[in-house]
Amino acid sequence: MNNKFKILLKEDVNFPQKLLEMEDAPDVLYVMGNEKILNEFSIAIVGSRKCSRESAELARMIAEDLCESTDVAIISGFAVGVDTMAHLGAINKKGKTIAVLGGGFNYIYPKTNIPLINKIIDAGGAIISEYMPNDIPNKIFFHNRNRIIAALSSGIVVIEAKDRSGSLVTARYGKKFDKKIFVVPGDLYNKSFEGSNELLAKGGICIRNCNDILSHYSEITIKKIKKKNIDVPEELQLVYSVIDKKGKTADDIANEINRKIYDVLPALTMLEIKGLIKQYPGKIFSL
Amino acid sequence: MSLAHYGVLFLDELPEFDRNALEVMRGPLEDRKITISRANCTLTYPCNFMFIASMNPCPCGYANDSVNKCTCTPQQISKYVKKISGPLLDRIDLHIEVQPVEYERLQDDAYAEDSKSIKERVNQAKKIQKERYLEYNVLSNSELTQPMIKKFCKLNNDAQSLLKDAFKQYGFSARTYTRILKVARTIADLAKSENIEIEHIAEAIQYRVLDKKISKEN
Repeated sequence: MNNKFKILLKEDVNFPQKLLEMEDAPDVLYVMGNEKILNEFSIAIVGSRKCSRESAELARMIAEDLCESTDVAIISGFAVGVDTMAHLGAINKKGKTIAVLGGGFNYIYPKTNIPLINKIIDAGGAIISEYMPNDIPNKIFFHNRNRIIAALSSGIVVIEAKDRSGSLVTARYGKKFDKKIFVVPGDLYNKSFEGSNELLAKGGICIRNCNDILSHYSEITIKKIKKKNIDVPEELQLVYSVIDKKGKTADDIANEINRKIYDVLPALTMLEIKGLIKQYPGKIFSL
Repeated sequence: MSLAHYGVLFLDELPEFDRNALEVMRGPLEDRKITISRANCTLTYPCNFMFIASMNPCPCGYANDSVNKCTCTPQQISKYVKKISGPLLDRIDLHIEVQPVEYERLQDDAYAEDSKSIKERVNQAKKIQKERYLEYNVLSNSELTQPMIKKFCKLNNDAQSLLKDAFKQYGFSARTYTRILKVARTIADLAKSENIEIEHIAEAIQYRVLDKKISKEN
């Protein structure tokens, strides 16, 4: 890594005070980016590395909405899947985000996320690790960094968690530190949500969106956001009207409005270029 | 490849081919001839063929599937997909993604255009092209050269600005630009339209899924 990093000692003013409440607080923190935000109010968003497209979108949306309507920082674990989407969501809205790594700065993991580092720093966020730059990431480190995520945050949002997953570890630490645990519910018989549903059964707070989270904090000031007027040209409205947040294939959209696929494709391009809909692999379109 | 001259070359499971074997196809796909150099001679064969290939979205085949869960790691998927290089993708006119067919769909008789009427439309479009290119010694839109593209693939202002926006948003390559124009020309021919309209360009852009930067992380 070429990025310069700072070393924060326990005694430093900027050392996150929240971490000191832990018995096994790290003595040293390695920080890239803006270390001042470590003491600010923050919400963690964690979940599966192999999440569904819907969960990934939801992670991004919650992070985007939180950053747009408040000043909270978004904390996550820099892993692929939900974590990455949470960081990206914050960056999209020029919000602050904190990535807690499970290894040293010379061994950034996963490598595919290396470009994300500069984006986080540019948006005023920070990348932190309790491990020395040459420490190689491993299972135990990842397990332990979850406790830092839990301790730094004021609430933890679990988006898609399997049984015995890392997100559950974070939630368990969260409970221990007396943090609010927010959980997005999932299909009861879907293995990918077993952990999420278990958390709900054991007292997690069920949430659907950013507002559900904010209603639990009276101390956060909520900025008024101007509602964007969505202006859909008349000739595109028919196609636009059947597209939802969950996503549909181009064929399904065509069937639903009784048009041929080649009548629908041009409209989809126009909507996409106007930024009204998004396309995903598999020719799936969603709002 | 020369054996497929004026025919179809179909490669199933494209990423399973050796990367070198795939890369040498780039030249012949563009020039429609293949040159083999040996110690004592250099031979050039014609190979004007239609290239069709198919692949799975990931090694296990279940990525993007709404029912089954993909068991591949993101690294595996990216390694698999990257076996098809950008320059090779650039040379493929149409990229189409298909979803698995559900059981109900196998049985229902929802209306779909039958092959007979499609054939009729295709033949008509081919006839239009043949007549248009009578004095140019080419048969179809795919063989258009740069000056011919300038002449026959004119865009109106609306179509122009749509294409410009699409380029900005998806980061298309220069080669993709001519592909889109040629495909749009064919779509216009199929619709019996003399000029390329904005909807023809818009449809052609939909067939470039694989080289679009589709909201992938980073």
